[in-house]
Amino acid sequence: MIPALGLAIGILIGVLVQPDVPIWLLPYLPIAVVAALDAVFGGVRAVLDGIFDDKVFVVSFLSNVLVAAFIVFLGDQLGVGSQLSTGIVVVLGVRIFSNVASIRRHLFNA
Amino acid sequence: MTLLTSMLERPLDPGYAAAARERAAGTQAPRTATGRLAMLLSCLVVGVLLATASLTLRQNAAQQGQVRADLLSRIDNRRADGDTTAKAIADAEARIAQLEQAALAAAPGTAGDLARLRSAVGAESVTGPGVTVTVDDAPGTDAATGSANGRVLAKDVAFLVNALWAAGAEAVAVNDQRLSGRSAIRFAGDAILVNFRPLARPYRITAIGDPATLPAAFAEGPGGSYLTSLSDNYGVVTEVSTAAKVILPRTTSLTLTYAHPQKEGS
Repeated sequence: MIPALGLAIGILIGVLVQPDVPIWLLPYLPIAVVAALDAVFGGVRAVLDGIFDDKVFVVSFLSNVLVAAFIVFLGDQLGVGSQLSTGIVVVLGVRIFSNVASIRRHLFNA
Repeated sequence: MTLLTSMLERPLDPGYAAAARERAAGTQAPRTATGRLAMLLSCLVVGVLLATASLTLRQNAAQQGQVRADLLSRIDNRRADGDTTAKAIADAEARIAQLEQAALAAAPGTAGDLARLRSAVGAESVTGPGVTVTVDDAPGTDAATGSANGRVLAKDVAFLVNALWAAGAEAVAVNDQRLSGRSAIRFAGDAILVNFRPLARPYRITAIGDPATLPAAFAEGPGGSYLTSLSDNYGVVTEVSTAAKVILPRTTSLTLTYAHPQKEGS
Protein backbone atom coordinates (compact mmCIF):
# COMPACT_ATOMS: atom_id res chain seq x y z
CA MET A 1 0.00 0.00 0.00
CA ILE A 2 2.62 2.50 1.10
CA PRO A 3 4.98 1.68 -1.81
CA ALA A 4 2.22 1.98 -4.42
CA LEU A 5 1.13 5.29 -2.92
CA GLY A 6 4.72 6.57 -2.90
CA LEU A 7 5.22 5.48 -6.51
CA ALA A 8 2.02 7.20 -7.68
CA ILE A 9 2.81 10.42 -5.79
CA GLY A 10 6.37 10.34 -7.12
CA ILE A 11 5.23 10.01 -10.74
CA LEU A 12 2.71 12.81 -10.16
CA ILE A 13 5.43 15.07 -8.72
CA GLY A 14 7.76 14.24 -11.62
CA VAL A 15 5.07 15.03 -14.21
CA LEU A 16 3.91 18.22 -12.48
CA VAL A 17 7.30 19.67 -11.53
CA GLN A 18 9.15 18.47 -14.66
CA PRO A 19 12.60 18.91 -13.10
CA ASP A 20 15.35 20.01 -15.44
CA VAL A 21 18.04 17.35 -15.64
CA PRO A 22 21.50 18.91 -15.91
CA ILE A 23 23.52 17.78 -18.90
CA TRP A 24 26.20 16.07 -16.81
CA LEU A 25 23.53 13.93 -15.13
CA LEU A 26 21.93 12.74 -18.39
CA PRO A 27 24.17 9.65 -18.92
CA TYR A 28 23.26 8.43 -15.43
CA LEU A 29 19.50 8.75 -15.89
CA PRO A 30 18.82 5.56 -17.87
CA ILE A 31 21.16 3.58 -15.63
CA ALA A 32 19.43 4.93 -12.50
CA VAL A 33 16.04 4.02 -13.96
CA VAL A 34 17.14 0.45 -14.72
CA ALA A 35 18.67 0.09 -11.25
CA ALA A 36 15.51 1.44 -9.62
CA LEU A 37 13.36 -0.95 -11.69
CA ASP A 38 15.56 -3.84 -10.54
CA ALA A 39 15.01 -2.88 -6.90
CA VAL A 40 11.26 -2.46 -7.47
CA PHE A 41 10.82 -5.84 -9.16
CA GLY A 42 12.99 -7.46 -6.47
CA GLY A 43 10.69 -5.91 -3.85
CA VAL A 44 7.53 -7.09 -5.60
CA ARG A 45 8.93 -10.60 -5.84
CA ALA A 46 9.84 -10.50 -2.16
CA VAL A 47 6.28 -9.42 -1.31
CA LEU A 48 4.89 -12.36 -3.27
CA ASP A 49 7.41 -14.70 -1.67
CA GLY A 50 6.22 -13.37 1.66
CA ILE A 51 9.66 -12.27 2.78
CA PHE A 52 9.47 -8.54 2.02
CA ASP A 53 11.42 -6.26 4.33
CA ASP A 54 11.29 -2.49 3.98
CA LYS A 55 14.83 -1.94 5.28
CA VAL A 56 16.27 -4.40 2.77
CA PHE A 57 14.25 -2.75 0.01
CA VAL A 58 15.46 0.77 0.84
CA VAL A 59 19.07 -0.34 1.16
CA SER A 60 18.97 -2.40 -2.06
CA PHE A 61 17.40 0.49 -3.96
CA LEU A 62 19.93 3.04 -2.77
CA SER A 63 22.93 0.76 -3.25
CA ASN A 64 21.74 -0.31 -6.71
CA VAL A 65 21.39 3.25 -7.94
CA LEU A 66 24.60 4.46 -6.32
CA VAL A 67 26.74 1.55 -7.48
CA ALA A 68 25.35 1.73 -11.01
CA ALA A 69 25.99 5.48 -11.16
CA PHE A 70 29.48 5.01 -9.72
CA ILE A 71 30.37 2.36 -12.29
CA VAL A 72 29.18 4.59 -15.13
CA PHE A 73 31.13 7.52 -13.65
CA LEU A 74 34.25 5.37 -13.40
CA GLY A 75 33.72 4.19 -16.98
CA ASP A 76 33.40 7.78 -18.17
CA GLN A 77 36.66 8.66 -16.45
CA LEU A 78 38.39 5.64 -18.03
CA GLY A 79 36.86 6.25 -21.46
CA VAL A 80 34.74 3.08 -21.49
CA GLY A 81 31.53 4.66 -20.15
CA SER A 82 29.25 3.31 -22.87
CA GLN A 83 30.61 -0.24 -22.53
CA LEU A 84 30.14 -0.26 -18.76
CA SER A 85 26.64 1.21 -19.20
CA THR A 86 25.84 -1.68 -21.53
CA GLY A 87 27.24 -4.14 -18.99
CA ILE A 88 25.06 -2.70 -16.23
CA VAL A 89 21.97 -2.80 -18.41
CA VAL A 90 22.68 -6.44 -19.30
CA VAL A 91 23.23 -7.55 -15.69
CA LEU A 92 20.27 -5.66 -14.27
CA GLY A 93 18.14 -6.62 -17.27
CA VAL A 94 18.78 -10.32 -16.63
CA ARG A 95 17.87 -9.82 -12.96
CA ILE A 96 14.69 -7.95 -13.86
CA PHE A 97 13.65 -10.69 -16.27
CA SER A 98 14.14 -13.52 -13.83
CA ASN A 99 12.38 -11.54 -11.08
CA VAL A 100 9.47 -10.92 -13.43
CA ALA A 101 9.45 -14.63 -14.34
CA SER A 102 9.17 -15.46 -10.63
CA ILE A 103 6.41 -12.87 -10.13
CA ARG A 104 4.56 -14.35 -13.12
CA ARG A 105 4.80 -17.81 -11.58
CA HIS A 106 3.26 -16.45 -8.38
CA LEU A 107 0.46 -14.53 -10.04
CA PHE A 108 -0.59 -16.80 -12.88
CA ASN A 109 0.87 -20.14 -11.83
CA ALA A 110 2.48 -20.25 -15.27
CA MET B 1 29.45 -19.92 -16.09
CA THR B 2 29.19 -19.80 -12.31
CA LEU B 3 28.56 -16.09 -12.54
CA LEU B 4 25.81 -16.55 -15.12
CA THR B 5 24.19 -19.40 -13.19
CA SER B 6 24.12 -17.49 -9.93
CA MET B 7 22.81 -14.42 -11.71
CA LEU B 8 20.02 -16.36 -13.40
CA GLU B 9 19.01 -18.62 -10.54
CA ARG B 10 19.28 -16.31 -7.57
CA PRO B 11 18.45 -12.82 -8.73
CA LEU B 12 16.68 -11.86 -5.49
CA ASP B 13 18.73 -9.96 -2.95
CA PRO B 14 19.91 -12.45 -0.37
CA GLY B 15 19.09 -9.71 2.14
CA TYR B 16 15.39 -10.53 1.89
CA ALA B 17 15.99 -14.16 2.80
CA ALA B 18 18.28 -13.16 5.67
CA ALA B 19 15.72 -10.68 7.01
CA ALA B 20 13.02 -13.34 6.78
CA ARG B 21 15.19 -15.80 8.73
CA GLU B 22 15.84 -13.18 11.39
CA ARG B 23 12.17 -12.42 11.61
CA ALA B 24 11.38 -16.10 11.99
CA ALA B 25 13.99 -16.38 14.71
CA GLY B 26 12.51 -13.33 16.42
CA THR B 27 15.84 -11.55 16.61
CA GLN B 28 14.82 -8.68 14.31
CA ALA B 29 14.19 -5.18 15.54
CA PRO B 30 10.48 -4.26 15.39
CA ARG B 31 9.25 -2.27 12.40
CA THR B 32 9.54 1.43 13.01
CA ALA B 33 7.91 4.55 11.57
CA THR B 34 11.34 5.61 10.26
CA GLY B 35 11.57 2.45 8.22
CA ARG B 36 8.20 3.08 6.64
CA LEU B 37 9.09 6.68 5.93
CA ALA B 38 12.34 5.61 4.25
CA MET B 39 10.33 3.14 2.19
CA LEU B 40 7.83 5.80 1.19
CA LEU B 41 10.66 8.15 0.25
CA SER B 42 12.38 5.47 -1.86
CA CYS B 43 9.20 4.76 -3.75
CA LEU B 44 8.73 8.49 -4.19
CA VAL B 45 12.23 8.78 -5.63
CA VAL B 46 11.58 5.84 -7.99
CA GLY B 47 8.41 7.53 -9.23
CA VAL B 48 10.11 10.86 -9.78
CA LEU B 49 12.96 9.06 -11.53
CA LEU B 50 10.60 7.24 -13.92
CA ALA B 51 8.59 10.35 -14.73
CA THR B 52 11.71 12.51 -15.18
CA ALA B 53 13.42 9.94 -17.38
CA SER B 54 10.45 9.52 -19.69
CA LEU B 55 9.84 13.26 -19.88
CA THR B 56 13.50 14.08 -20.50
CA LEU B 57 13.85 11.51 -23.25
CA ARG B 58 10.64 12.73 -24.92
CA GLN B 59 11.88 16.31 -24.70
CA ASN B 60 15.09 15.29 -26.45
CA ALA B 61 13.14 13.91 -29.38
CA ALA B 62 11.07 17.09 -29.55
CA GLN B 63 14.23 19.21 -29.40
CA GLN B 64 15.77 17.26 -32.28
CA GLY B 65 12.69 17.98 -34.38
CA GLN B 66 12.99 21.64 -33.45
CA VAL B 67 16.67 21.74 -34.38
CA ARG B 68 15.82 20.18 -37.74
CA ALA B 69 13.07 22.70 -38.40
CA ASP B 70 15.43 25.48 -37.36
CA LEU B 71 18.11 24.29 -39.80
CA LEU B 72 15.54 23.99 -42.59
CA SER B 73 14.29 27.52 -42.01
CA ARG B 74 17.89 28.78 -41.98
CA ILE B 75 18.51 27.05 -45.32
CA ASP B 76 15.38 28.69 -46.72
CA ASN B 77 16.46 32.09 -45.42
CA ARG B 78 19.93 31.83 -46.95
CA ARG B 79 18.39 30.69 -50.23
CA ALA B 80 16.06 33.69 -50.25
CA ASP B 81 19.05 35.92 -49.44
CA GLY B 82 20.94 34.39 -52.35
CA ASP B 83 18.00 34.97 -54.71
CA THR B 84 17.68 38.59 -53.57
CA THR B 85 21.40 39.15 -54.09
CA ALA B 86 21.29 37.54 -57.55
CA LYS B 87 18.44 39.85 -58.49
CA ALA B 88 20.39 42.87 -57.22
CA ILE B 89 23.38 41.77 -59.29
CA ALA B 90 21.20 41.43 -62.40
CA ASP B 91 19.73 44.90 -61.81
CA ALA B 92 23.16 46.43 -61.33
CA GLU B 93 24.44 44.76 -64.48
CA ALA B 94 21.47 46.06 -66.46
CA ARG B 95 22.34 49.57 -65.28
CA ILE B 96 25.99 49.01 -66.19
CA ALA B 97 24.90 47.96 -69.69
CA GLN B 98 22.74 51.10 -69.98
CA LEU B 99 25.60 53.35 -68.88
CA GLU B 100 27.95 51.56 -71.27
CA GLN B 101 25.55 52.16 -74.14
CA ALA B 102 25.33 55.81 -73.21
CA ALA B 103 29.11 56.13 -73.02
CA LEU B 104 29.60 54.23 -76.27
CA ALA B 105 27.21 56.46 -78.16
CA ALA B 106 30.03 59.04 -78.23
CA ALA B 107 32.46 56.61 -79.92
CA PRO B 108 30.72 54.82 -82.82
CA GLY B 109 32.14 51.42 -83.76
CA THR B 110 33.25 50.41 -80.28
CA ALA B 111 29.74 49.15 -79.40
CA GLY B 112 30.08 46.26 -81.86
CA ASP B 113 33.55 45.41 -80.55
CA LEU B 114 32.26 45.32 -76.98
CA ALA B 115 29.31 43.06 -77.83
CA ARG B 116 31.62 40.69 -79.72
CA LEU B 117 34.12 40.52 -76.87
CA ARG B 118 31.38 40.01 -74.28
CA SER B 119 29.95 37.13 -76.31
CA ALA B 120 33.39 35.59 -76.74
CA VAL B 121 34.22 35.53 -73.02
CA GLY B 122 30.75 34.35 -72.05
CA ALA B 123 29.35 37.53 -70.56
CA GLU B 124 26.45 37.53 -73.03
CA SER B 125 24.13 34.75 -74.07
CA VAL B 126 24.81 33.63 -77.62
CA THR B 127 22.88 31.75 -80.26
CA GLY B 128 23.83 29.92 -83.41
CA PRO B 129 24.02 26.51 -85.07
CA GLY B 130 25.21 23.91 -82.65
CA VAL B 131 25.95 20.36 -81.60
CA THR B 132 24.55 18.77 -78.45
CA VAL B 133 26.35 15.81 -76.91
CA THR B 134 24.23 14.08 -74.28
CA VAL B 135 25.76 11.55 -71.92
CA ASP B 136 23.92 9.77 -69.09
CA ASP B 137 24.76 7.13 -66.52
CA ALA B 138 24.39 3.54 -67.71
CA PRO B 139 20.98 2.00 -66.95
CA GLY B 140 21.05 0.28 -63.56
CA THR B 141 23.66 2.62 -62.12
CA ASP B 142 22.51 3.50 -58.66
CA ALA B 143 24.23 5.31 -55.82
CA ALA B 144 22.47 3.04 -53.32
CA THR B 145 23.64 -0.26 -54.80
CA GLY B 146 27.17 1.02 -55.32
CA SER B 147 27.50 -0.12 -58.95
CA ALA B 148 29.38 2.99 -60.00
CA ASN B 149 30.99 1.53 -63.12
CA GLY B 150 28.57 3.09 -65.57
CA ARG B 151 28.61 6.50 -63.91
CA VAL B 152 29.56 9.57 -65.95
CA LEU B 153 32.54 11.25 -64.32
CA ALA B 154 33.68 14.86 -64.35
CA LYS B 155 36.71 13.68 -66.29
CA ASP B 156 34.44 12.37 -69.09
CA VAL B 157 32.60 15.69 -69.33
CA ALA B 158 35.89 17.61 -69.32
CA PHE B 159 37.30 15.38 -72.08
CA LEU B 160 34.22 15.83 -74.28
CA VAL B 161 34.29 19.62 -73.74
CA ASN B 162 37.96 19.70 -74.73
CA ALA B 163 37.19 17.65 -77.83
CA LEU B 164 34.45 20.13 -78.79
CA TRP B 165 36.84 23.09 -78.37
CA ALA B 166 39.39 21.20 -80.44
CA ALA B 167 36.78 20.56 -83.14
CA GLY B 168 36.23 24.29 -83.50
CA ALA B 169 33.48 25.15 -81.02
CA GLU B 170 33.18 28.85 -80.27
CA ALA B 171 31.02 28.65 -77.17
CA VAL B 172 30.25 25.67 -74.93
CA ALA B 173 27.76 25.13 -72.12
CA VAL B 174 27.12 22.08 -69.94
CA ASN B 175 23.51 21.81 -68.76
CA ASP B 176 23.09 25.55 -69.43
CA GLN B 177 26.23 26.42 -67.45
CA ARG B 178 28.20 28.48 -69.96
CA LEU B 179 31.93 27.83 -69.88
CA SER B 180 34.14 30.87 -69.54
CA GLY B 181 37.78 31.49 -68.76
CA ARG B 182 36.96 30.94 -65.10
CA SER B 183 35.00 27.70 -65.41
CA ALA B 184 36.16 24.45 -63.90
CA ILE B 185 34.64 21.02 -64.47
CA ARG B 186 35.19 18.97 -61.38
CA PHE B 187 33.38 16.64 -59.04
CA ALA B 188 32.37 16.85 -55.41
CA GLY B 189 31.27 13.51 -54.04
CA ASP B 190 29.01 12.03 -56.71
CA ALA B 191 28.00 15.34 -58.28
CA ILE B 192 29.68 16.98 -61.25
CA LEU B 193 30.22 20.71 -60.69
CA VAL B 194 30.50 23.28 -63.45
CA ASN B 195 30.90 26.92 -62.44
CA PHE B 196 30.55 25.58 -58.86
CA ARG B 197 26.95 24.54 -59.60
CA PRO B 198 26.08 20.85 -59.22
CA LEU B 199 24.60 19.33 -62.37
CA ALA B 200 21.76 16.82 -62.62
CA ARG B 201 21.93 13.98 -65.10
CA PRO B 202 21.68 13.66 -68.02
CA TYR B 203 24.62 15.89 -68.99
CA ARG B 204 23.97 17.96 -72.12
CA ILE B 205 27.10 19.54 -73.57
CA THR B 206 26.05 22.13 -76.13
CA ALA B 207 28.53 23.82 -78.45
CA ILE B 208 28.13 26.47 -81.12
CA GLY B 209 30.36 26.23 -84.17
CA ASP B 210 30.51 25.91 -87.93
CA PRO B 211 27.63 23.54 -88.82
CA ALA B 212 29.60 22.22 -91.79
CA THR B 213 32.73 21.16 -89.92
CA LEU B 214 32.04 21.01 -86.16
CA PRO B 215 29.91 17.79 -86.05
CA ALA B 216 32.22 15.93 -88.39
CA ALA B 217 35.41 17.12 -86.71
CA PHE B 218 34.03 16.08 -83.31
CA ALA B 219 32.85 12.66 -84.51
CA GLU B 220 36.14 11.86 -86.24
CA GLY B 221 38.38 13.29 -83.55
CA PRO B 222 39.12 12.04 -80.04
CA GLY B 223 35.62 13.02 -78.86
CA GLY B 224 33.83 10.55 -81.11
CA SER B 225 36.06 7.62 -80.21
CA TYR B 226 35.80 8.55 -76.51
CA LEU B 227 31.99 8.44 -76.75
CA THR B 228 32.15 5.05 -78.46
CA SER B 229 34.44 3.61 -75.82
CA LEU B 230 32.22 5.02 -73.04
CA SER B 231 29.14 3.32 -74.40
CA ASP B 232 30.92 0.09 -75.39
CA ASN B 233 32.89 -0.43 -72.19
CA TYR B 234 30.65 1.08 -69.52
CA GLY B 235 27.19 1.15 -71.07
CA VAL B 236 27.01 4.94 -70.76
CA VAL B 237 24.08 6.32 -72.75
CA THR B 238 25.40 8.75 -75.39
CA GLU B 239 23.72 10.81 -78.06
CA VAL B 240 25.00 13.44 -80.50
CA SER B 241 22.54 15.74 -82.25
CA THR B 242 22.85 18.89 -84.31
CA ALA B 243 20.49 21.82 -84.34
CA ALA B 244 20.23 24.85 -86.58
CA LYS B 245 19.81 27.12 -83.59
CA VAL B 246 20.82 26.64 -79.98
CA ILE B 247 20.92 29.27 -77.26
CA LEU B 248 23.74 29.33 -74.71
CA PRO B 249 23.13 31.48 -71.63
CA ARG B 250 25.66 33.90 -70.18
CA THR B 251 28.06 32.60 -67.57
CA THR B 252 27.46 33.18 -63.88
CA SER B 253 30.57 34.96 -62.72
CA LEU B 254 33.35 36.77 -64.50
CA THR B 255 34.39 39.03 -61.64
CA LEU B 256 38.14 39.50 -61.40
CA THR B 257 39.44 40.46 -57.98
CA TYR B 258 43.21 40.13 -58.29
CA ALA B 259 43.83 40.19 -62.05
CA HIS B 260 43.97 43.69 -63.59
CA PRO B 261 44.31 44.57 -67.25
CA GLN B 262 47.87 45.38 -68.19
CA LYS B 263 48.07 48.58 -70.25
CA GLU B 264 49.77 48.30 -73.61
CA GLY B 265 53.32 49.46 -73.48
CA SER B 266 53.59 49.41 -69.70
